Amino acid sequence: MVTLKKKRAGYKKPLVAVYILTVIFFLQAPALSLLVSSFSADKYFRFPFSELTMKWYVEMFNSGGIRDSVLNSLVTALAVTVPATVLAFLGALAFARYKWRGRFLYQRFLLLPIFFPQMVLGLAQLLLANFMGVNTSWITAGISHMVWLLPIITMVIAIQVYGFDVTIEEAAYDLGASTAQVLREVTLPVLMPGIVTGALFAFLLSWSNFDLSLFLQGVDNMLPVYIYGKMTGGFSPTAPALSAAVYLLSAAVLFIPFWLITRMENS
Amino acid sequence: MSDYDVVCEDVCKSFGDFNAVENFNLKVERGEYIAFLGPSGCGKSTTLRCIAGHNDITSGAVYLRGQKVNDLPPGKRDTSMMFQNFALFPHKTVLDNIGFGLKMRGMEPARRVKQVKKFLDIVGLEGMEHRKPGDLSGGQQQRVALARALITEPAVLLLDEPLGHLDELLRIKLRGELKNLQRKLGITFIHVTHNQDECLTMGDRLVVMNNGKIEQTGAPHDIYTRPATFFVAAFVGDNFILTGDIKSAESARVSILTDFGCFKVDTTQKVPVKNKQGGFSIRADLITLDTDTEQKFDNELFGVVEFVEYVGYIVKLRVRIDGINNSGQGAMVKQIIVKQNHDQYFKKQLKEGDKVKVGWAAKDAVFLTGSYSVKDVSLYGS
Repeated sequence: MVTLKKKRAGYKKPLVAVYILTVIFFLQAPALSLLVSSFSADKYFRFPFSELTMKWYVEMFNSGGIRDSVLNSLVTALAVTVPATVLAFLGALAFARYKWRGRFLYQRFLLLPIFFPQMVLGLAQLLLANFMGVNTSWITAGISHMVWLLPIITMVIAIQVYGFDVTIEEAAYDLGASTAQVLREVTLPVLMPGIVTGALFAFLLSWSNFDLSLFLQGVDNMLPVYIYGKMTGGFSPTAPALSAAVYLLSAAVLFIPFWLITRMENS
Repeated sequence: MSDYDVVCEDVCKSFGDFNAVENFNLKVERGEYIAFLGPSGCGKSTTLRCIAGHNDITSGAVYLRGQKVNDLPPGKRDTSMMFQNFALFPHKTVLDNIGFGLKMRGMEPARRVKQVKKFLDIVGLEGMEHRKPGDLSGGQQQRVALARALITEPAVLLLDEPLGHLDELLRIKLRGELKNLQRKLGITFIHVTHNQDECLTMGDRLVVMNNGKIEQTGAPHDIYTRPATFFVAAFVGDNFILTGDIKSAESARVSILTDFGCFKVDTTQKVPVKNKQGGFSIRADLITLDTDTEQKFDNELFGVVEFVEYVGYIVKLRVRIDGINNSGQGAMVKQIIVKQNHDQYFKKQLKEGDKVKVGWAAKDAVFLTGSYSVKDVSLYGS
């Protein structure tokens, strides 16, 4: 019996490994091909490549259009992250923790924006902006991002709030803490992982947003829209370089904090 | 008022329509160890939280060392609470957890650390200051919670089922430690539990609660030997309880006609007029089982041994008795739990299927009146 069990475990392991690698491959293959083709010297898309080069990266750094759109996306994403996270934090407490009269309706209405296809949401917001006589710019794009992000970030934080043990707050009050002290010493630190995750999500989802930016950006080109424009205007070899660069940057924003935290916990 | 550490005066607490606590009256002297005992939902934790200030009271008053504290928040009352799930701050070290109360009072870090170390010694956790709650065992977490509550030197320590989350051996060990600690510190402890062994061993006085009301207050010995109500008789100890009509009451001896026969109880209480409802309770260890039917008892029944349970220091026998209900229809069956110590058991060594005479003295039984609910009846040996 024992030898039989060992045999079973034997072929399971490599099978699982193959499965995982396949999944990762499918998920990352597009990004990988982007990375690879960004080094191709050809002016149009051709596989296999003729020669490898770094010149598209150089051109990318020199391009004013690229610089502007990167700046626009960055500024918008940063401007969106803080208010979205704060509102989402308060909203998550209202969603998951406190029982109040309008909660049932609130829980449903809050989630509405994510049920729309983003294109439809973007168009609706554009029409609203026109109706109100507001000009579109990175500001309207930012607001539009916030509307869409709020339900998502609220839910991300709410998940943490659901698991939050309220008795530790009671213990803090019992030991003489004021409301502000309880928030600072207990509630916020314990919920911080959720809040940080929410903030990261907010930044990345705004930074990479295409559908809403397309409608609401006005003359302030956002990066995804810029790349789209360049690609539809005929193949531009800087596009893969730019996309690869954005991909690596996003990955860094996502991984570096977690890597640092893991290092801190293990020390 | 100021002689007592805690005074509860007609404390009532309702949640909407639900009356969680009704007319709770208690006076606690300095240095007493009080235990609240009762089933889940009886209001004991709610009352504790009212004393702590975590719950507002609907009516009545709570006094701490003579001062009325109804409107004072928990942080301003001279009480500290130890929560059932310990409620340790998961993100803080043991040092910061225990020192929290002092930090909130503005004590400088250096002095705080000294105090914390002192209390770590008191609870037996030297050297653990830099661990986090997640790294500690249940017993260790409990000690941290205890140190955290005691470091602010409260007048009264309130413990909400502090031993509930621990395994059996640890519970028994910590019972003794808690009691010793209380004696050493000399402060008042109020301890809530549903475990009667805990109550009986630890409390100087018990408050037995049911459905938001106090059933009986008294020393463990009094409550165990002289329960005042049907509920207390059913909940504390193993008692055989029967109810029926009071047939006569002369010279302190009451006769009660039940479905299983007529039984006599000696009592000093004033007995209500004939043909009112009444009952009695007899302790499992005061019932004698006899196969020699010659021996005479004040109260006798015949039954069959159904099950013998060797608990170690005692033997529990379950005896089945048959009766006929008052209207003459339908057989009724009841089971009596009888406790015998080693000598008693091994003298006769009764086994399943043995026919026995069940007997007890009228002076050993306790006369009971008052109402009881069907729910409480299910607590009796059925």
